[in-house]
Amino acid sequence: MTSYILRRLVFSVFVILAAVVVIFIVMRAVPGNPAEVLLGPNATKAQIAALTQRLGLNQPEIVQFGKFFWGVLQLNFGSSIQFSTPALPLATSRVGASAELAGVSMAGVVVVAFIVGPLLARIPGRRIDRGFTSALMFIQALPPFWVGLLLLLVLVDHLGVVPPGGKSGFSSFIMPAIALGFPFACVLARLVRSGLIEVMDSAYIQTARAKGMPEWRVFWKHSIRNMLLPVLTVGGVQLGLLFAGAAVIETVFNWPGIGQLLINAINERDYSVVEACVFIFACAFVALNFITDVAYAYIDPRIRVSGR
Amino acid sequence: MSDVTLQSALLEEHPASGRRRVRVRFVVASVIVALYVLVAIFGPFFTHFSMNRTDIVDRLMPPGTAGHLLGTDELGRDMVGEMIQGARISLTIGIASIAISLTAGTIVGLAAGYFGSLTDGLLMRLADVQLAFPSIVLAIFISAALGSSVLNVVIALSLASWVIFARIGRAESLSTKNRAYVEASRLLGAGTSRIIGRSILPTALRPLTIYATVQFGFVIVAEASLSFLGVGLPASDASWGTTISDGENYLSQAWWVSALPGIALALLVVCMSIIGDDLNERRS
Repeated sequence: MTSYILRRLVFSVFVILAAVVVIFIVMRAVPGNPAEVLLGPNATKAQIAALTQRLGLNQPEIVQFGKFFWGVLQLNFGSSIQFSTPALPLATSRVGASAELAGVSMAGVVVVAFIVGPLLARIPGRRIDRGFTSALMFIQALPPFWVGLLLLLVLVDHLGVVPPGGKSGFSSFIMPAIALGFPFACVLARLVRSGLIEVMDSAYIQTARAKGMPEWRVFWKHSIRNMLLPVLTVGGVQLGLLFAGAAVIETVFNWPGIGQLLINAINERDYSVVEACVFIFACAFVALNFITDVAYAYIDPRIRVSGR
Repeated sequence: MSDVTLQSALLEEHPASGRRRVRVRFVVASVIVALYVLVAIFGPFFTHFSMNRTDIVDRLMPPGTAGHLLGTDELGRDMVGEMIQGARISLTIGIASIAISLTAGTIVGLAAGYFGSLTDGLLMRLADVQLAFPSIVLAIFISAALGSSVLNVVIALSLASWVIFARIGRAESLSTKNRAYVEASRLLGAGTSRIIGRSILPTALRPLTIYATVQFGFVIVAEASLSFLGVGLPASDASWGTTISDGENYLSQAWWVSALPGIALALLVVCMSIIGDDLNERRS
């Protein structure tokens, strides 16, 4: 197990370093001279030349890359043009709000999935079950940012029950958490449902019933527990996707997280902040993948041995 | 890994619904998608819509107004025409991105699985690096770097989705390359490209198409998201995403500007996911 974890850890570090290379390449794909883009149409030739010099854009690519990579190793992405502060601390300061939102959303997702899933699993194939399962698939396909707008329309404009945006009290979490989490709630509810139906047919459940165990106890003690682990590992991956989904949802609800910072930095052409944000997204994603892989290996020993 | 896991979760088997029911659902969804395609191709000939033709007097008219079946937007443009234009853009971008990522991903995946060893290692490490980025963030990032245009959005979305196809292609290639009929074809003197194209590709096509249907939904939602955020298509293009974004400012007075394109988008995605789901069910 330890060697497996070490292998995955080394691999994760490698992936993050490679991701830094990708970030560098994509940023150099920006058409034209970034210095020109940054200064806008009214800049003089001298200003452009000065900024080109300052950003090191007149040096060979390989030197630029070396400097960039060395900077990243020291966790230095340069300064934000907009806020004149170092880019990476600026980006990390926004992670908390995003993580809080993802956490609240995930909690809601789990609660909903573990209420809806088991209820449907009790009546597999019945009309209500089929209707709800189809509805889940339908809801899952709705575009999240659009659902966000509908929530704004109904809850804010017509009912006025929650604040329209920004992060304040608990009520400010309601809309973004729903908009962020509903597709995953649907996926998870369906997973719980199909997992439970499968488990309920197995021999040890019949044994438990034969022992005279009451149905609710069979359900909550044996069935749920046994399908919990695979669902939790899928949940780990989803937490990462929730975090990524924040890039879109935070803009809709003016949520002060890293996703909003990213979009804002893109619109302001604040490239070092863009790089720092994308870097953080990549790190978070890789870290969650790593945790999920280790959890998998912990549950299923075959993965450890084959080593992939 | 994550995206693939999610994809398989999306395609998770579900209810013991009857055979006939599946068919009805499938047919309805296919007909709706076909209608979208027809409207996208021929609609603009009937509506004579132009993003540049504005009419401030008739702005924000509700649906049902004479001459404007679904109302008008904040610049008095007809919503029907605007949404048809949006369908055109969405379908074009969806089809182009899927075609590119499917082709590239399949070639890479089949080659990686077939040749194994170093090729496989290199190509799959590349895929792993790409999977370090959440696909929507990667699409936003690439699209923002390249600038707003249809072509750049297609590039961004193709780059964000080829990995899934590569992984499926690789898995299929690995499981078929040692089958007897592939061996037979090799013994008969078939070249590498013929073996891959004629013996391995056909088996891989089925799962690939199923994932392509699901991925199509992801791609058009991603395009709308990018355009909504202002990093996708320029505001002069009537993408559903840009229309939804324009309507955001008028949500309380004119809900239809944002709501209607969203419904059009949602309906298309739902139909695509039903088709993918049923294809998957038939396969298993």
